[in-house]
Amino acid sequence: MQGFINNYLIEFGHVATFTAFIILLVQASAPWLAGRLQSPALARSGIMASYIVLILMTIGGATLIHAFVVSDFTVLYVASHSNRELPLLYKVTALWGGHEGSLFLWAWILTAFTCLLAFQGKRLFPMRLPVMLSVQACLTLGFLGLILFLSNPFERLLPGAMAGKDLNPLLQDPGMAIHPPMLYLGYVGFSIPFAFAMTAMLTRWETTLWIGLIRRWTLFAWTMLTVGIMLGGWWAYYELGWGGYWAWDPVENASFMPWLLGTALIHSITVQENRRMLQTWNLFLAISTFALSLLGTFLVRSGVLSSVHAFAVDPGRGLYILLFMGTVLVISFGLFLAKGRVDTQREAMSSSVSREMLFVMNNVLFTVLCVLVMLGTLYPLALEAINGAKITVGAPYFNATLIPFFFLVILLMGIAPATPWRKVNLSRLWSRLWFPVVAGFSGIAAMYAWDDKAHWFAYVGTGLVAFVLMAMLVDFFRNASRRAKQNNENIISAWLFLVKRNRRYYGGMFVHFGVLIIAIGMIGSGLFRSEQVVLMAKGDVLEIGNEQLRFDGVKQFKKDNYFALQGQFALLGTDIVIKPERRKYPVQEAPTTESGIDSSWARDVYIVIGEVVNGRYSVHAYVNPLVEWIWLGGFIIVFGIGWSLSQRMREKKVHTAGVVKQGSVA
Amino acid sequence: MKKYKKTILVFLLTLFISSSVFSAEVAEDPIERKMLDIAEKLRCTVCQNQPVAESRSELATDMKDLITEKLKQGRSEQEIIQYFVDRYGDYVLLEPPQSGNGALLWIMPPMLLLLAVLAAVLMMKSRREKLAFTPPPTLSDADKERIRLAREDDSGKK
Amino acid sequence: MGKAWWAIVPVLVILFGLLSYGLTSNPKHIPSPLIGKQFPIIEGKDLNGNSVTLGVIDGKPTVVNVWASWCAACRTEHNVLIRGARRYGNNISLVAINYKDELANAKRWLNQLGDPYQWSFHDLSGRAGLELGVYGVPETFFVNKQGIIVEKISAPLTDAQFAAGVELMNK
Repeated sequence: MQGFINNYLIEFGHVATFTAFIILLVQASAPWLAGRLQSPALARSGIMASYIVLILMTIGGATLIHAFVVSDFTVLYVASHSNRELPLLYKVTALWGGHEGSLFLWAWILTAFTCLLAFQGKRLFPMRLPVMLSVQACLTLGFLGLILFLSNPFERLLPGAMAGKDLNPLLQDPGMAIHPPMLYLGYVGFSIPFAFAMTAMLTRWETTLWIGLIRRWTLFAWTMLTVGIMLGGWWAYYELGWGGYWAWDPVENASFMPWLLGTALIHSITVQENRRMLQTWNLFLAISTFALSLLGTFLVRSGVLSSVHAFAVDPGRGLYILLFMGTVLVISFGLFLAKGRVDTQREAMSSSVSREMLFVMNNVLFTVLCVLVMLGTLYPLALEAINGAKITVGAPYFNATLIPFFFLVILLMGIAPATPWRKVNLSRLWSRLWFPVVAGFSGIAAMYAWDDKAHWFAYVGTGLVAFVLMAMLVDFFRNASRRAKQNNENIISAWLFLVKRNRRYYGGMFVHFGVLIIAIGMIGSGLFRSEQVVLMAKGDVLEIGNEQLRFDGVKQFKKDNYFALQGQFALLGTDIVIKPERRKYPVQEAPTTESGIDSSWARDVYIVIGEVVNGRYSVHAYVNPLVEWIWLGGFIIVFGIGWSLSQRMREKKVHTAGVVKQGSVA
Repeated sequence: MKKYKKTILVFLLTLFISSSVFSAEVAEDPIERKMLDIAEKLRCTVCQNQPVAESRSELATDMKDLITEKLKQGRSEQEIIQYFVDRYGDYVLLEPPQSGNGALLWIMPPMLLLLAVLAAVLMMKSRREKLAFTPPPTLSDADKERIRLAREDDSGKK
Repeated sequence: MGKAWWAIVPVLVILFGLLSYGLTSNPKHIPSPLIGKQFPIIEGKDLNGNSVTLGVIDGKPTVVNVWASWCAACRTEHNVLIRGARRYGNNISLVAINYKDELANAKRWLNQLGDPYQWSFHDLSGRAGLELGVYGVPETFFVNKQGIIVEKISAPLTDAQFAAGVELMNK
């Protein structure tokens, strides 16, 4: 019996996944068939179908995870990515350690979200739900088609391998373990606004009526994508040993492009809710953000671009994804150009300077940023296609050209909240902003006093951060003191009350604050880093940044599935010993390094130990000021989104009625 | 015997003190630093999108050694970079060249921004004109009379 | 301004064209800027310890093959080189650069598989390779009578490529 289970459990999962594929065909065609056959019940069948598909996909996934956990090496995918010695946690996360399994995860998340959509739609938009579910089904079919016919994780290796190949050591890390699921939650999350947009264009559903419904979905997807990207950067910093966190690698850019447009979408939705404008922009952004998720999938898995992150190259799969993506984009943008540019705006933008206009500028900036990232990433390919020449577009290019745009974004971040809707009274605006402007220039002066030879990014960046921080403070102070006077309470409790009542607004402010913290971290670690590469013998002392490191030799030991050589570096003036390692995993040939890091809010001391040269160890040491602020900023952003999303039921009811209240707690 | 012990002790002590002078404060070799600065700008041709300075591949190590040797010979950064470009092409530069093949890349960012801002401003201007506020028509005397009568009617019914 | 959205169409067309092209191209292949330039003079020793010089052309077009005993792909192209040496015989010179290889391993390899080369330059440090823009093994240079590099193949050589290279050299 046990043998039977072991041999056939995985096949059961395979069959379940195939059945899901069949049912999805029903789900996709339900609305059209229902129209043909005049059967309303058939239209609603999509809901039940989506539930069944989720159950089947879960069964499929469960059998795969089971295969990993029991180290069933008759499954090719398990044999290629796992090993009996692997810790249990990584046996499970190995499911998405390779191309086939990670695709399966993508598809599973898509079916889960479809179910949630069905659940929400039954109540809120029952008439249009069948079409929505059909859109989702078509997307899922595209992925399952790829999985079942070209990248099958259930493929057997008979007779089974004696030992597994082991998971890439770089992936045997908690950060790397949840990085893909977070990213996929983001990518797939953006399929929901996409489905809304498609349904709106297919069934003539006015944007105003559903834009509020996608706000939470969009925020959720954006947050997951942000967390995924931050995890990637955090992991790169801790694991890869070059003291940096973002390299503008094509695959990193692939995740950054939907993030940029997603940010634009979030802000654009706010304009629509408040002023009933930018319908066309919102449709465009909803479609494009998801389109970029698909593009990202293509770039990572097709071998078109050279990248440290890319999965194994296979042009066959690449062709399939390209065709799939092409079909989706042609249909969605075709519909958009035919029907989507609806001009039902009822109110004019009343003057040139208003919050609406600043939001439009925001949309423009983020779209331009996205286009530039795409340009830089695809330019080498384009050049090669034109004249066969090969060039590299690396980090120095992106940093030099994009950071000024980010500065503009930060500037907007400071001005927009102080600018009212509709029409601005310039003198009133100035009364709110003059103090922040002073703060900004003080910031520049302070930075200049600290270091007068820094890159100009440092001065402008500090000035802008100071400007926006002060603008936020002024805003809070104004609002809180007004309330404090009215209700005769102290300013702190007034402010806390406002924060609790206006969760959407203040959640957004928290997110902006998080962005500022990240900016501070990037200015510090990006522009004021110290780096030294030296050969050290036992007892040698290295002076770097404001720190002194004394090398106290090495220790050697075995742990889990690797051998380690660990350097001992004493941080003089403290009790701290920093311990970078070189590890050798017997199954994989190449050794890996683990950086030794001592973190504090002021700076990280970061050490990588290398080879022995003439009896001395090669040591690469960095001091990264303020780098931990970047991760802190990430947490603040997530907190801010959570706060914003916790705005309660009152708002939901308003949207069910299909009317957006003017000036509501928005 | 005691004399010998003293001598040995003094000898060991001297050794100990001078060893802390020998375990020197290390500083970076300026040539190594220069080499790494150059290696930061060159792309490792067998790696996927990494600078030579960060790569652990054999080719990158060979390149770093060659850079060090050329620096010791007194070559300038410009000459060394040109050496590699002559043999591996522009591909070996991490930052695209500012002229020729890379020119478009550097022009696009400011150009795009200008275009986009222009487009947005024009878009808003046209929208403003299209939906310009038209004042409601003024009531004619006949209309005013009809309203008065209707009001009287209402108050009568009440 | 609704017309402006139609700009999406050319963007999509270009994007798809580009990505389709991308599927057919090899991101690892680097075109060589040395084609059309003089083959550099590099002095050193061959596998038997004799002094040899790369880049000195003795009146015949020369094929320079870069190989190593640790390179699996070099095995697959080796027969191509043996056939080429036999077919074109005295009309060309065939020399090699043994790249970053131990002498013993290199000699054993040639003993086992045959030695079509006049001599193999022993480039233990990889310097000669760097001088020639070598980024992987195997690679093959086709040099004409004037010492100009007319072609560089950065992959295991095929018979067809060998023939095409010889034709280019004789032009």
